[in-house]
Amino acid sequence: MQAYDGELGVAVARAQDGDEAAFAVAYRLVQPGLLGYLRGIVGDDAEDVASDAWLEIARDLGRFKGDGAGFRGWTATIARHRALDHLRRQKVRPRATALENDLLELPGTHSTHDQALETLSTEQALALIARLPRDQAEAVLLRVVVGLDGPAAARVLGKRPGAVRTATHRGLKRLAQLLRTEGVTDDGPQTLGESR
Amino acid sequence: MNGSGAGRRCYDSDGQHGDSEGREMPSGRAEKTDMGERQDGDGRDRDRDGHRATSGAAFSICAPSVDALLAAAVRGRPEAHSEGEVRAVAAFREAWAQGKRTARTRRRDDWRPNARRRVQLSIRTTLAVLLASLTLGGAAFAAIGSAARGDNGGDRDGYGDRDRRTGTSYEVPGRPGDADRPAGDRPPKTGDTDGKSDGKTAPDTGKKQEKPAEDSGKAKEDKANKPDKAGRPAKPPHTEAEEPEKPKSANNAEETGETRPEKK
Repeated sequence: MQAYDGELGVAVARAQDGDEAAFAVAYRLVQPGLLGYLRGIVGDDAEDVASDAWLEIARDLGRFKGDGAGFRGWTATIARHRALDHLRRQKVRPRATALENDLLELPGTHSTHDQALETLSTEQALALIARLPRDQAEAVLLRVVVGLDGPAAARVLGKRPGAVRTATHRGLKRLAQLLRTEGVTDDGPQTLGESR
Repeated sequence: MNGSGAGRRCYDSDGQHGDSEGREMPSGRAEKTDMGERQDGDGRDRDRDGHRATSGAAFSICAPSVDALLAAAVRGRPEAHSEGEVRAVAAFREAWAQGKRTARTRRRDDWRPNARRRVQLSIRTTLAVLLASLTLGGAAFAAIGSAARGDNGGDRDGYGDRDRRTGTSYEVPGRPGDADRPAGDRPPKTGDTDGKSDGKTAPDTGKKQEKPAEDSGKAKEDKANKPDKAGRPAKPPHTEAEEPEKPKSANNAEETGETRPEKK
């Protein structure tokens, strides 16, 4: 992800000079992570929210100052604001999305851990993330999916970098536990005791 | 057993470890499950590996860490000329056509690696270091004061030793100073408890009047059985040295006989 930051920075700079093709390049580089992050927050409405966010990004691109990594953070901030607006409008708690329905279809309950690792789909991954507390889920999404560094993620979330680092660490640890436990439940209780 | 695939994959291509944070967790799991796998027997392993040979070809990366896995799963695939892209580019074109490029950069739009922020940070760091050094310095200074006081206490003991050596004290037998003491100087032995303070106070009164007062006062506090006279600094040395001695030596003869073996 960070490897694209140089390319992204160039594209953003050219887009700020009016290059449409460069803007499209920037879009393609940023949109996957942004969309993943928005899916984690607003679920199925992520596409709409991302579309709103991109309107604002296109409008305010002239104001932006920074490099490729900065552009990721800036766009994530805009997307987050749009997502929170969206949630406020809907009066829906962020966790109460359609994602939670997918919990029933987690791979671990009926397949091996191995398959859980290999066949983790977008929905399943988001369902796992949706089981985290909100701050951990957002930190993990920003760090892992959007590809921000710690300080940038902290700026997006309006928190201290240390808090975001802790939340990311705990979130990833919890996700690993979830993956592991979901994977071994099929083997019966003796695997949980780890005494074999 | 369940994670045998991940474990196997990890051991097969160990050099391909990612460098991400969550790596330890999957690899730790891989080790554990690999042990489980060994216990399980060969047939199932071969079965599993055969299965992997056909279907697991796409997963050549060793033991994908949690974050890599999530990133791969959650990040959508970039589509060229998707609807969203077309819309975004149209919005960009429109914004460009309206010529809003003169808009001022707000603080939230400035994502440059900020020199100003770095300066602020360094100022904050400097202040923190300064404060910490002041605190530590203050603590050290206070420690110096207390250490000096402790030294004074040591000095007092030293005076006591010196006094004992001058021969007027009825000091604790068995103290190191006693060995040096000339036998002739030594007055008849009295009790440990009283002799100590007396030995300090008696000869000193001529030179210093305050210290013995302090000493005897302290000793008074410490040992309740001590007579009041011993602490009086203004007394002439002779009377002081001898006067309290007589009743004490009489009184304490028993005590010394009793206490001394206990102390030793």
